[in-house]
Amino acid sequence: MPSIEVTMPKLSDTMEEGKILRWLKHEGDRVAIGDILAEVETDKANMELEAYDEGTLAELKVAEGESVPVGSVIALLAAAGEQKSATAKPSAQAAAQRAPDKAPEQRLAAPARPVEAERETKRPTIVRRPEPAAPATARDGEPVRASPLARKIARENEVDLRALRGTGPGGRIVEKDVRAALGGAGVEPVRRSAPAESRPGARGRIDLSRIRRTTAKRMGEAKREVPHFYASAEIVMDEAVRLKEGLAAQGGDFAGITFTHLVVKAVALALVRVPELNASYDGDAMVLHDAVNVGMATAVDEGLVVPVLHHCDREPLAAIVRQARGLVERARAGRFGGDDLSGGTFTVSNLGMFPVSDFAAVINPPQAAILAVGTIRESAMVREGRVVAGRVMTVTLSCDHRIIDGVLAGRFLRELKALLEQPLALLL
Amino acid sequence: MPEYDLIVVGAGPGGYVAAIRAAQLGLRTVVVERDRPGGVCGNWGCIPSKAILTDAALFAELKAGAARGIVADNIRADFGRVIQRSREVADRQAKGVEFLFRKNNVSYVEGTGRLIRGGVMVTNDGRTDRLAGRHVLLATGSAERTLPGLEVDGALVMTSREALDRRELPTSVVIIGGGAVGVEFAYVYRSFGARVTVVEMAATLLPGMDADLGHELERSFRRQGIEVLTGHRYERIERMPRGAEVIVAGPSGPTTLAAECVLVAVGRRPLSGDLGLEEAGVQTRNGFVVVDSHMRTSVDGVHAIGDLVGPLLLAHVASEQGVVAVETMAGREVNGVDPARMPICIYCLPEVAAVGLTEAEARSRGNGVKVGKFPFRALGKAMASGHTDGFVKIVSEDRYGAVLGVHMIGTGVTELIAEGVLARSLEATTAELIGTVHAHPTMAEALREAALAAEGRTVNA
Repeated sequence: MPSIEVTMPKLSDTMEEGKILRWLKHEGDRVAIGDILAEVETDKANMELEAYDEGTLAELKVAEGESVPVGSVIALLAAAGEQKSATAKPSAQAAAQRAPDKAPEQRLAAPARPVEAERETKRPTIVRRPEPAAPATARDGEPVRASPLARKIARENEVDLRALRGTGPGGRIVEKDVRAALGGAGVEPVRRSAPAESRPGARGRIDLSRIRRTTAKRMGEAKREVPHFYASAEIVMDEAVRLKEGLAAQGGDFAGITFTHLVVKAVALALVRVPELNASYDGDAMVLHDAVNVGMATAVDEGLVVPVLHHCDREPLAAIVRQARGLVERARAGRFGGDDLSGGTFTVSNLGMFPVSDFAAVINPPQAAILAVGTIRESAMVREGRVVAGRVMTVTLSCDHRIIDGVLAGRFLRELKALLEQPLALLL
Repeated sequence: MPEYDLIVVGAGPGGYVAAIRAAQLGLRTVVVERDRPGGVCGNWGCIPSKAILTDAALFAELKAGAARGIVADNIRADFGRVIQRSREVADRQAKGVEFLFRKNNVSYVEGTGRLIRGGVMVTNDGRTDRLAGRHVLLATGSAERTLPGLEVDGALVMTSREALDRRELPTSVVIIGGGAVGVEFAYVYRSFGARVTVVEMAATLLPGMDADLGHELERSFRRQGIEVLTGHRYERIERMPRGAEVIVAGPSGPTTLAAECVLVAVGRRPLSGDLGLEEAGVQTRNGFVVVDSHMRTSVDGVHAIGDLVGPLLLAHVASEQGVVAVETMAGREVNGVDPARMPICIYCLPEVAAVGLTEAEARSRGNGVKVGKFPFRALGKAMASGHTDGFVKIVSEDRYGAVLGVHMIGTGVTELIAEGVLARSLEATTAELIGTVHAHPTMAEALREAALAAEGRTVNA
């Protein structure tokens, strides 16, 4: 009986595990390709998990609120036409035993079959209800690390310890954490005149959001490990400004066009001409990417995310405008789907809406380069010996010097400058 | 000018532990010390005084042996040798710290440190050196305080510092101050045969600790022949041809106490005066350096620990603060030092040990409190060993049974308190203490019995 394993997909490049926030389909539900199966919380955002196959949802293997590593089986789908019944439940092990040469189809990065089979064999048939006094444990068997006092207070007040972050030694949940969850009442004061909790002159301590923590870790790694060098160019934007205004006036697909969209398209075309910048450093190899997927650094309430526009080189400008608008909306709402956050090969960071003339960005590994875009400003330029007024924009390219040399940066900036100064090419 | 990651000023139990932890974390570390490694603890406090106290207890036990069939005729003490041995112990301790510095590649500079911009200026024999460092850890400790009119001369008037080096046993001593230092010296001098009077201003000995401990110690001291005057204030001293007369004022008027010498044990003051704190902008309060829970001062890159920051002037508190300070500057996430989890130990006999809230402190917080108390005289091991003085007292919160404080007095309680400290740091409740089987027969059973008593389930009393 063929059954299809649904696994936890890698929804962003940095995702290592995902938490099922909510199942939108339940056991017995019919599922069509593209249906949203569940909401998943990743290290960066809450995302929707789409079905890649159709069939009937036979078994949910992960409970709501539970986290599993990328690649873990989270549900079983009975292939279209199969009926889910109590007696013929398509357990993966049974399927493998009965039809060893017709193993269930695997999707994404499912773990190797024997591991799954073993896990199935060991699963007890009778599940004992935990005694009321048993210590709270996470559903996957990991004990919750909490002090006896924290457990007692949590039990009496029906606080789920699994939902708390411990601040005790080694991340242990202590009284303070449970009291904070209860609304901060009655935290035990310390004996005698303890020094003030916050540093003299400091305003307090704010716990970092998930997104911020990921950013902190990755930016730290990037700046420590990637040898950055920087190259800047001034681009005359008079033609680009005219083009953007013309397109915006036209409306339709171009409604809401921004300079970021023009820059993204120009960057994509420049990357086609200088493919060495559309690359990643990988130990003793430089990996050149076929696809030109440009990420846009986007500020959201919780920090910084980089939604990705795929195949910017091939997509017409109108499609880029449309897709970028959708991405930014989803980013602000904190609800990404599919590959919104994955697969980027180059990043653009635009601070042009602020009076930032130029800046240098930190590379988003494993990408080889990032472009920092400053504001468009009126400037006096010398042309053919005469001073003329014009609008210029300074861009700064940060490059991974392990695989990119200055000449490549120069060539890329030359192409980018040409594309933006004669921007009709962006419409071709 | 050499560049360090960390300059530690002071090689006491705070500074030397911090320096070694810093070296383990890969920080280039130098320690500046004006005297010798070990600080007050190793040289003029914990360690030498424990050598003397152990000898006092041994002598007292042997003298009392006849009742249990151990007859030592003509037993006598050589007080000079006792003091000499304590100095030898202190010397070994200092050498041990020097060895640890070498082993951990911690640089060591002799001299007096003073905070300057970007580092520390070291003065030694008129020569000055500048050390540059990213972080400075101030750990200069404290010195004995005295009272107006009680100029310390080392003969008639002394502090613990002089007493630890005094090789002649006085025939009589007035000890001003009934805190930890006062009661330890009272026990030592009395055990070796001196006439001892302890004068304490507060209503009980060991002010600041649970009142039951002070009462019990006072009872025990009286049995040992130590005169205890609580609620008495030092007024003045009259120097006599031999010794002095100390006039103290109590509830029923002034009293004159004659003695060969006077020991002042009225606390300690932070050694913060010559550190250049004011110029650097480091905030202080009553001489103590103001720090946050991670030992950061008001100036970036400057940290302070130990007696210099108060209010618990204890070696192990300084060491823990040193580790927290260093791990914080190395970018590690650590919890700050919680004073309510720091044990306090006093080594006279009976010993005294405590951690957490006193009963009065717990009640003053307005929450329901349960108290369980178990006397050692009801314990098999205590009866067998003849150490029946004292008790274990547990103060718990009445709703969940959280252990708020553990207070002990009796033989060996300075070792038993570790379990109480563990209970505090794990946030244990009386249920965990009761659920932990304690070997029989041991003195430690008293802790579990006290927890049972707090829950109204006492078995052996």
